[in-house]
This record gives sequence, C-alpha cells and structure tokens, in this order.
Amino acid sequence: MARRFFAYFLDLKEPRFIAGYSAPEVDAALLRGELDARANLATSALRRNPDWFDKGVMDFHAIMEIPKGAKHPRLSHLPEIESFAKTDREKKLITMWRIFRLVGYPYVMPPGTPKELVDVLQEAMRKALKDPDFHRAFQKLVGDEVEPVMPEELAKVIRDVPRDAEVIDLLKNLSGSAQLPPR
Amino acid sequence: MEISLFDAAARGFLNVLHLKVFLAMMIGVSIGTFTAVAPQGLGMPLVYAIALPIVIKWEPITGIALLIGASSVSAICAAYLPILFGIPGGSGSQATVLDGYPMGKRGEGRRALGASFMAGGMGSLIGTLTLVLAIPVARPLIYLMGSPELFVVMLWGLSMVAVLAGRRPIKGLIAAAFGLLLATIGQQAQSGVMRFVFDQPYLLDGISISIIALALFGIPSALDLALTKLGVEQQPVPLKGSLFDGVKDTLREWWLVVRCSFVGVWVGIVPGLGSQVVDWLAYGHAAQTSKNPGNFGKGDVRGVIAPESANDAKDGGDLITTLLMGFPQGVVTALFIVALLAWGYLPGPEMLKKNPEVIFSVVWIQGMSGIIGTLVGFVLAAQLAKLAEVRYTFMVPLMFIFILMGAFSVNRDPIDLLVVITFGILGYFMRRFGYPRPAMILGLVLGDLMEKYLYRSVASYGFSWLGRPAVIVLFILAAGSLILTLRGRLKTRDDSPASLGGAMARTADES
Repeated sequence: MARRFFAYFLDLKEPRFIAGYSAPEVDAALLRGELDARANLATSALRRNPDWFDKGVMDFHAIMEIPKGAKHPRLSHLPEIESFAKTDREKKLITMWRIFRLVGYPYVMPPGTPKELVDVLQEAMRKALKDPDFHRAFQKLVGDEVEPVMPEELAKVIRDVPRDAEVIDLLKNLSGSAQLPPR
Repeated sequence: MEISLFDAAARGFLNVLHLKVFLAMMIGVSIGTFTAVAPQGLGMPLVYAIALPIVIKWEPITGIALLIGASSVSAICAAYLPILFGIPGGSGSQATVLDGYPMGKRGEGRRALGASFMAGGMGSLIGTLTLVLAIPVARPLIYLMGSPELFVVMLWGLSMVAVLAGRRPIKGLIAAAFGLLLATIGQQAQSGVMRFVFDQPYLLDGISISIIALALFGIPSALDLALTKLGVEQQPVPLKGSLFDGVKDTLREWWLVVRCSFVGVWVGIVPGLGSQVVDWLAYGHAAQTSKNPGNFGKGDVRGVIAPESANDAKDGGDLITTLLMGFPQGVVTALFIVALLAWGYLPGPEMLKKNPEVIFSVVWIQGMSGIIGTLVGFVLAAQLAKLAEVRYTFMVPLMFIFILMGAFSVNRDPIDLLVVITFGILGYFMRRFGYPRPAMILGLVLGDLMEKYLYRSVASYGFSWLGRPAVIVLFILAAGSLILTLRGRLKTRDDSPASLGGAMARTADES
C-alpha cells in the first residue's frame, strides 16, 4: 500500500503498480529501468544499496517520519509526506497511516482478558524488550535494529487513530487495487 | 556493495577454508560416492531432497559444500555400475555401459575405471573453468535480462520438453502440462487470487517442489529396486588390469576429452536438456567423429572417456545457468536454487551483483570436489565396488524411511506424507507407462517463473516487450534450438546408441 500512498500524495500521473517482485528483484528492476519507482523503508534501502545514496544512483523524493518529527540522519533534507497533503482529510489519512506504521505488528489480547493477566504479559514484554540480549539476538537474526513500542504508548497512539468515515473510505481505496481516486 | 571479481574469487576461496566447510564437503563426497555405486535409485535428486531440509539450517557455505560435494563426486564415480556390473548408472553415465561393460568382461575393468575417473576429473575441471570464464562475461549482461527476456528464456527451457519426451512427444507434453497445472496451485503471487485451493489451508502456498520431486523419483526407484531385486542377482566381474592404463588412454585422447567436455557444458547451459542426454550426445559425437567407429560398442575406451568427460563437465554448465541466469537445469539444480533462496540468495543477476564471493565459493568447492572425487575413485576402486552388493532387502526399507523423513521435514506437516505417497504412486505409473517425469518437473519448476515474468512483462511494457531486441534474439535462438532438435529426431530414425535419435529414445526409456 505504501507505493499507492506515495503515488497519491505525489500526484503521479496514471501510475501502474506491478506486484509480485521480491525486494532484491525490485532493486534490480529499478536499475534496469523496468520499474520507475518504489516505496521502501529507509533503513532497508540504506542497508541493501548504500551506493544509491553515496553515488546518487537513485533520486529520493519524499519521506514519512515515524513517529512524526523523527528525522532520518541521511534523509532529513527530504520533504515530509504531510507537506503534500491538501486537505484536512488527507492530513488525517497520513496521521492514520503513520500510526499504523508505528504500531507495526502488535501483540494484542482478545476483549475481556482479565486485567491481572494483561499486566503479567505486559510486564513480561517490557522485560524482554528491554533485555540487551534480545536486541543482540534480533540484530543477529534479522540484521536490523528493533524499536519496540511499549504498551502504554501503543494504547495511546491507537486511541489517537482518526476514525472519520471519509478518511476510512479513502484508506480503503488506497489499500485496494482500483485506480487511485482524484484529489 | 559490489566488489571486484578478483576480490570475490579471493573471498570465495577464504570462505571455503574452514574445517566445518571441508568436513561438510567430505560428507558430501562420501554421500556422492555411495550414491554413485549403490544400486539404481539413490540418485542425486533424492539425496538433495533429503538433505535440503537439513542443510538450509546450516551456514550457507557449509551447506553448499555438502550439496556440491555430493553431486560433483556422484558424477565422477558413476561409472562403477556400468563397468563392473553392466547396469546403466545414474543419469549421465548410462552410455558408459556400451563400452565400459565389454571392457570389464574382458578383464580391463580397472583400465576402464581409470579412464572414467581421469576423464571425469578433466571434464569437471573444464566445466569449472568455463564457469569461471563465464562470470566476467555474464556480469555486463545483467541489465539486458529483464522480465521479458527471462520469460523467453523460461519458454526456451520449456521447449526442451520436446527433448525430454524422447519418442513420446504427446506423453511429454501431457506430463509438462500437468507440471504447469500443478504450479498454479495456491495463491497467485501477483493478484492474490486463490487457485485450486478448495478451501484447504494446506494448498495455500501450493505443493512443495521438493516433496513432488522426492515422490516422483524416490518412490518409483525404491519400488523398482524391490520388484527387480537388484543387488542379489547381479554377478560382479573381477577387477583386472591397471587403473593407470586408463589414465594414459585419457591423456592420449585429450582432444576428445576437451570436445566432449564442451558438449557437456553446452548441454548444461541449454535449458531443460540436463543429464538425460549428455552422455548419449557425447558418445554419439565420439562415435561419429572416430576413424574406426566399428570398435564402439565392443569395448573401445573412447566410449568410456566421451560420456564421462561430458557428464562431469555438464555440472559447470549447469551452474552457469543456475547461478548466473537464475533458473534451474533439472531437479538437482532446482533443489539447489531452493536451498540458495532459503539462505537468502537470489540466484541470477542479483546474486552475481550482490554475492559474487558465494558464486566463487561454489566454483572452488566444485573444483576441489572434482579433484577429491577423482582421487577417491582411484583409491577406493576395489572397495567401493562392494557397496553395489548391498541387498535390496536392506536398501528398500532404508530408502522409504529416508523418503518419508525427507518429506515430513519440509513442513513437518503429516499431510506431506500422504502427498509424497500419492505422487510416488503417480511417479511409478508415469515411469511404467512412459510419461517422462523430468518433463513434469520442468513444467512445475518453470510454470511459476514463466507466469511471474510474463505478468511483469505485460504489466510494465504492455505488448511492446515483444519488440525488444534481446527478446527477439532469444526467441530466434529458442525457436532455432527447437527446430534443430525436432529435425534431428526426424532425420535419425534409427535407434542406434550413437545417434541422436537413439539418445532421445533412450532418454524416454530411462526417464
């Protein structure tokens, strides 16, 4: 969805979205000129293709800061995606999407779970996520830094998700495969 | 970050210089040796299928050492059965029986084995050197090979069903179409549409190629072994003569070795040909270019040298397309690609760009395994022959245990056991009724890739991709290759072993 999101806000003319590429395949297709653009995590792009930044192999156009205001050290010069929003609805959409990205892959319990059980699990999560050994193991296995969101912050940002019907409609459109809506 | 080829070669060599890598290579060499001399059935596809779930959990170079070590040595040592027992060896060494067995019967078994090992070792080195030379040439071609070009290359590979089908083109097409159909099972990667899933979670990701290959090749071989009771009825021929007589023969016929090695490399590079035909083509070439072809089939050492050198050089050609182009040349290389993907490498231009040192590690391991395999062949000639006497009553249950364990370990899903048995029965009847299983595997392996590349080509370029220069050139090459193959089959109606028609016919029978 990130590519449709950026294409919408950057006002790309009649963009075509081609699915089914693995991450390295997209990189090769970009270099061949088979694809014109992609949306990607800055950390992934830097890790896989540092020469794209160092030698200016690719042009970088915009970035989404997660959370808002968190500047990337190498890409702080890029315009934040919110600067392309034209209406309050679009700004709310960006807020919604930013929160989704911040939350990532949360661990959630079903409604009605006893509070004492939730407390035990939250404490266990906190302890594990603050353990330096966990971070070392994550770095070794995944090759990336982990930035966990703790339970209280997670609950707060989820409460802040915009729930306007028109924003949800726009999100549904962008997350589908139909033509991008006019702005 | 890209590195120079020299640095990549040096790093590739340093990767190999670890005790565990060497040990893994020696385990692979042992497995490959056992595979080569054991009764028919323990082919490399089965070994790869069983080893894959284990080695993908290892460090990549260690796993590669075991896999390449096994396949490299298996080819070199594959001449035991044909020469000593008159039993066609595994794929790629079947033609050796034509002259190897007569040599063995008249007491020149050691000479034939010496020629076989020497020719195999030289062929392996020529194939490896060709792979090395292909690396710098292939690199600039990376950006020429977009999705449209790769689609045509896959189509080219699929056209080789005409070869794999031998005398039964309709059955070959049916088998290939069935393979293509199987490749469509599961969620379509580009659109997300579910196909032939029937609300069964097991089918969401399609059926594992490893399991189907294990079933199609492993179970029929085990059943055949049980039904024919090989290992009991065959009478060994005493080893006589000198291994070094064969070495001298091979060195004297060095030009034949070079020519047949390039036949092997070519067969390895051309998609879909594979080991089923390499020995027959080389044998045919040797017989057709000989001044006294009448000696062939009566114990001419050149009839051993030609197929063995081609069969071992083919591995280098296989690796050129597998590593540098990114598509499999057969079941073994398809499984090797599965392993590379599991380790996080994307074979093809991407790997050449991102992981050239790993490609060079493969080259080093291939070269070292070839030398070790040749030495093993010389040193253990007499002892290894005894392995062929393992009773079927011991071998068959062991094979079934390995097959079921291998299938279960892919996903640890009990349904896989049912699937492996089902496809095993299918494979048995395919073999029995002459439906070429390699054609089905080819369809299965290439189907998914073809669909992916075709989708991308049309999505990116519409139909204008058909006019791309590289696409046109590849189309012409593919069409030319297919026409030449079909013409060759029409012209050579006879089924003599030295003819292409004979080779094709034999392919059909043995597939």
